[in-house]
Amino acid sequence: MTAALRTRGLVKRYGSFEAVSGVDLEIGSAQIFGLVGPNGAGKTTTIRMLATSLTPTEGEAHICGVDVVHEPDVVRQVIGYMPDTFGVYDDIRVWEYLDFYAHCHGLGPAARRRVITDLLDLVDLTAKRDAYVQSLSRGMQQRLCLAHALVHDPQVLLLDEPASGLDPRARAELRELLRELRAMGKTIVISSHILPELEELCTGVAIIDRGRVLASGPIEAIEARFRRGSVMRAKVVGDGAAARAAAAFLTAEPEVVSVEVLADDRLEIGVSTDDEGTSALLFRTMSAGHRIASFAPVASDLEELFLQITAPTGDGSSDEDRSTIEGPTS
Amino acid sequence: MTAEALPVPVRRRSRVRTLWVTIRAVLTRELRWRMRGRRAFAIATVFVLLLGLLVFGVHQVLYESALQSARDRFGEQADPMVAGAISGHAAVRIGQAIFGTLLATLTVLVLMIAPALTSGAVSSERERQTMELLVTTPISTLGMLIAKLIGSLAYVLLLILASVPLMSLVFAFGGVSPDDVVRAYLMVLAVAFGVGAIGLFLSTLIGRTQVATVVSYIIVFVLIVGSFALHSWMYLTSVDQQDRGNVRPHAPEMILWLNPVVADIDILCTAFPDVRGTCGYTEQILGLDRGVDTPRDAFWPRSAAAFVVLGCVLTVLATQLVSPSRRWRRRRPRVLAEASPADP
Repeated sequence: MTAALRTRGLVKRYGSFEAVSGVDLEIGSAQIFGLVGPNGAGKTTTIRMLATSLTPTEGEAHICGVDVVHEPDVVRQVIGYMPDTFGVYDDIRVWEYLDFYAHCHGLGPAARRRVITDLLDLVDLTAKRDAYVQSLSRGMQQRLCLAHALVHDPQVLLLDEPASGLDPRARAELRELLRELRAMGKTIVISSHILPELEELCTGVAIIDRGRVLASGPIEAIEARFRRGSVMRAKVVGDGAAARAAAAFLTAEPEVVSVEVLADDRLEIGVSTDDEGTSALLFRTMSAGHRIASFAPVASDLEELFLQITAPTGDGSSDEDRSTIEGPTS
Repeated sequence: MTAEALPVPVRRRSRVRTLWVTIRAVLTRELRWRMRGRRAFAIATVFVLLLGLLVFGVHQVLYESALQSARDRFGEQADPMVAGAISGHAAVRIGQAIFGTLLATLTVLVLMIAPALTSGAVSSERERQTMELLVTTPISTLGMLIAKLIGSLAYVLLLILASVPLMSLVFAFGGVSPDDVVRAYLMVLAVAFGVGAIGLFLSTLIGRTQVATVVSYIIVFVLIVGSFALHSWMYLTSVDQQDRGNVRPHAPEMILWLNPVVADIDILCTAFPDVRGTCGYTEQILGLDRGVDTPRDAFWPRSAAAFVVLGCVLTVLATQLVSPSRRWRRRRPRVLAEASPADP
């Protein structure tokens, strides 16, 4: 396989504080790879080091085989970067904004005109071509920033929280856009807090906490390694008595860790088994005469995994004890 | 699992081309941003009007003075036209006064405006959070700073350019040669570059526009008043140390090289050697007294060169402050172990 991006032992220290503590990643080409982690986990620092905005304290990173530390000028030609927070210039029009960055990448006048037209069409801002950038809504500015990252047709896109501040429709459009870009052969590294969307979009993820990669690889592989159960929510047909009877039945089942009857007579069931065990549990419950109208996980798989992997173990050694799934994502 | 490196379809542009592309790109955006709308041209118009009023005022004062002198000589009935004609020297004095006034005004303008314009050139990018987008494009840091310096000073250059028609009035009165005017503009441009570079450097060093602006003004003040005070002190101290001997008092001239006021005085006083008074006094105090045969182009070219060198040094130093990831480092490309030329 081909690696579009690879890091080894990437470290960033600010004085005695270690923001990133030896991140190892390997991402294949034409993949959408998610960086998942709580606030302050080191996602943004990692992306900024890959974007050549920050210099790593230790370790190495290569994008398309080019050393990020020693050949940043070359790396800047193959990456498109969209930071978490960004500003816009006052008194500059949308097309001028893109024209400026295209010019910075050395595109000639004719190529710039063509690229601007194509990108405005891609991010659906053609109607705003002559509008001033500061007059755009937050969502439009996000899309414009994404367009700026594409002016030079980069191989790798580094997107830090690209969906923050977007409404649901804009997020859905962004997902479609990213899929389209992947189909065009781009490798996309994306960090986000909206885990269900990442789960739907990404071919692989890295779960980062306190500067370390706790798990990395395809979501299914991480799930197989780390899944320790999940929380299901069930709606029982009938009144409260039916719900309590179902709860009593479930409590006696070996896979069930806990059962709670919620205020609306729905059940929240903690299970310590995989999908197959959960399916068998549902079958046995319904076979016992309990009528279940719905039975679904409270959180998405990725959210569940994230919460489990990043949960403190209490002995203060959680990070050290967890093994990491190594390997590429494709 | 091993991995191959993806073939990289990148063009390694020459540094000169990157520098040129960067200057064009950043300067275009700076000019679009700064010159958009009517504000820039409205201010230029107001500036020219005020400068015109000032020149008119100087002319009127000196003309009335010359007319009074003629009346004193020839009586109250003296014809103004005759009075003007009899005193070609008075016309020369008017021309020289307008020249001096314009040079002083342009110098003050540059000292007041240039630091304010350039001290936000880089820090405003940080404050607006646009810097990260900029430093992750393959632009030349030096090119970006040169373009920002030119773009920021474009306004000052516009105002300086707007003063040229008024300056050309001095030729109507005489007493000022075209090369004097060239000297004056060269000095003003050199001061604009040097002082602008001070603002640019502080903008990259401090990162906050307001603080950078204040510090820039303090440095400009120190350059003018501080260098004069230091030079005067050394000059006067050297007199004491001579123990009333025959050795003339002396202080190093280079202390004053970055003092634009002294450079202006040098241009004016060497251009009009017959106008003594203030010139003689200043030349003596500043150690520029070169007697009756004061050599032209002795001090101000050194001063202009000092401003240009200062500007160049500060601009180059500023490249190291724009972003930690853009500091000079030895190029040592490491190629992935697996990415040998034999790889497909």
